[in-house]
Amino acid sequence: MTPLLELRDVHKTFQGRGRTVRASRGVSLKVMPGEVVGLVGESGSGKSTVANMALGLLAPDSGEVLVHGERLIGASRKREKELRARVQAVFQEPLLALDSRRTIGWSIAEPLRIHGRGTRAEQEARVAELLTAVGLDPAFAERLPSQMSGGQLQRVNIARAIALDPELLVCDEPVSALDVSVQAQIINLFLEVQERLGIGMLFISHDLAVVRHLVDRIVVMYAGRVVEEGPTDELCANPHHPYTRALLAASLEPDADEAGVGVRTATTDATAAEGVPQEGCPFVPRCPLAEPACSEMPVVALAPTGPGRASACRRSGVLVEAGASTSNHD
Amino acid sequence: MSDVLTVRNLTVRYPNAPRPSVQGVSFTVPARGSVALVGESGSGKSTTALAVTRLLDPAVEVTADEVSFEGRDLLRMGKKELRALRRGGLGMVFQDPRASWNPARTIERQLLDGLRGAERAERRERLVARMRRIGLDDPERRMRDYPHHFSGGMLQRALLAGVLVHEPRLLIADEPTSALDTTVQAELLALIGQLRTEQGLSMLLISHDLGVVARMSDHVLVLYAGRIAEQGPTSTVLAQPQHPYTRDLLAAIPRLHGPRKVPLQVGRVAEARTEGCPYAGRCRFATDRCRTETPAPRRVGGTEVACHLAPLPDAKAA
Repeated sequence: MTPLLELRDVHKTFQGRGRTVRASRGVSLKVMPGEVVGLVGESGSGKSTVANMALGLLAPDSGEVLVHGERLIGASRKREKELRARVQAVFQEPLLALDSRRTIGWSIAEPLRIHGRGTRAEQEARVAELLTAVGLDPAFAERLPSQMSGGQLQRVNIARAIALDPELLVCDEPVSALDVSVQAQIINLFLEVQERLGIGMLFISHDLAVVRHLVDRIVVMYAGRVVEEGPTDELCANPHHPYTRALLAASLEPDADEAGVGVRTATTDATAAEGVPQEGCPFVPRCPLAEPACSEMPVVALAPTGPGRASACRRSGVLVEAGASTSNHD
Repeated sequence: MSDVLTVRNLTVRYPNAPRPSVQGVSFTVPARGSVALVGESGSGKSTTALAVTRLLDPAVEVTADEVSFEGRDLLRMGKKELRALRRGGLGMVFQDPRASWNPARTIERQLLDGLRGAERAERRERLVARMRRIGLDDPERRMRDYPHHFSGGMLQRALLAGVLVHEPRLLIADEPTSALDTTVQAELLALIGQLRTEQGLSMLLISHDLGVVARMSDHVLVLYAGRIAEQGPTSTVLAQPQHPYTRDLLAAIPRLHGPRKVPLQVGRVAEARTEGCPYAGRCRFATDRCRTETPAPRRVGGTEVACHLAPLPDAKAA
């Protein structure tokens, strides 16, 4: 089966004044048809750069971004348009994606007009259908964005994103700006849309707890590299990379006990971009498991650590064993 | 020990607003205690903090039976006294670390400006010690940097250092970690906890995040549409919530364990009601009485709850 989306050893570097940010340093990932993949990492990890390359909004410096096995950038205009219709996006700020002077109905129908789908009447009917599908009253088509709440606007963005029956949705922090109860509604809406349309999704977030509710497989990025990937439940229960473990420990749940304090204090506030060793593993300054070899030797490549699982850490073995022994106790 | 902050029957109304943003809110922050105001956008939690610190526009109508800090009336306090207080006993930290800094001036200059009295060299000495305490490496050099050289987490730490150097007795923190990554948030919260113990600092924490509230407060007020829905010891409110809203809020939190589908009972967000219980439009238990009669706070179990129906039948199965 051809993946819906494939990134092969993608590199992207941004040059600023006196500062170079290597946002993507050899990222490879795949989303298969109908698969929901979560891309997790903190600010500066490069996850949004990956999203923008997947959408063809940014060209990689090297490596390939393939939609259905074809390159988006460099395809003929006609072919590019066809491929773009298959990959749609939902972003963090619900208001930014909509034209504030146009009605909701106009915005939802925009992709239909661009791709010449149906007559005007058919487009209007489709807008009503889409609004219903995302839990909104079809009468909302007449409203302006300013007359709606953040949660309603994010529903509109989802309606717009699924208007062309895409095969893949790329969602960059789509629920991060929302209140808890609204966030929960939108998470459930994504689950519903995914189930009903069998659509593939690349869901990007800094919040592992949000991602866990939605995805089959998680890819964790740190400082421009994929450091771990694996099936959601296994990865959350038993992380194989110390960074994933730190992320899990930092997740605050209202009824969680104080477990994980040791991991938390062992990390320090160094953003991924600054103070990173040149050769060695970039997580060393924050890693409780680091040993001298981790900063002296080149960073290790992503390597299998179990069924469907991989980690890019010299010391993964310690975590794999720790996980195996705890699951034996269960 | 006496209370550091006392708020009695606070009501805040923005000009032309259909209903008050905050209505009849009362609470006290005891010495060394930590009280959290929790709620969603529009719940009135930030407005409460702004009213208490007198940071609202004068056109906003603020009334209360009492708002006092260590026995001094905050609402009738003069500008000068208020400013002195903000540079002294009453420290504040807000959500967006970038918005709190002037991008065109160095960290050091901005922090030194806030310090009065002593010689510059001595003030600087005190700041450097603080900065080291909050985890800034090589503070002598880094303090000469501009805000854009700092990460969000570091800016928030530096801000905290700048506030704590005044040795406040009360810290008002409005979503202090909401703009930060989870790992950075966890570290900053641990640091605030440590500093609170060391300095005997009281805190009024404003947050939408019950996970943060669970870690950082002893007492919590759950606000909905400007009113207190429920309040009590944090551990009791989170373990045995009596108000349907508190339960719905807890159920809606994404979690690392348990079912995939968020077990969601909250309906669609209703227009805020002007009569009856403000939550009646969203509440799955609401009766006719709820829609007409505003519930008064009552003690139920270990919490004080404004709900006609408390205790709810399945109080533990939130």
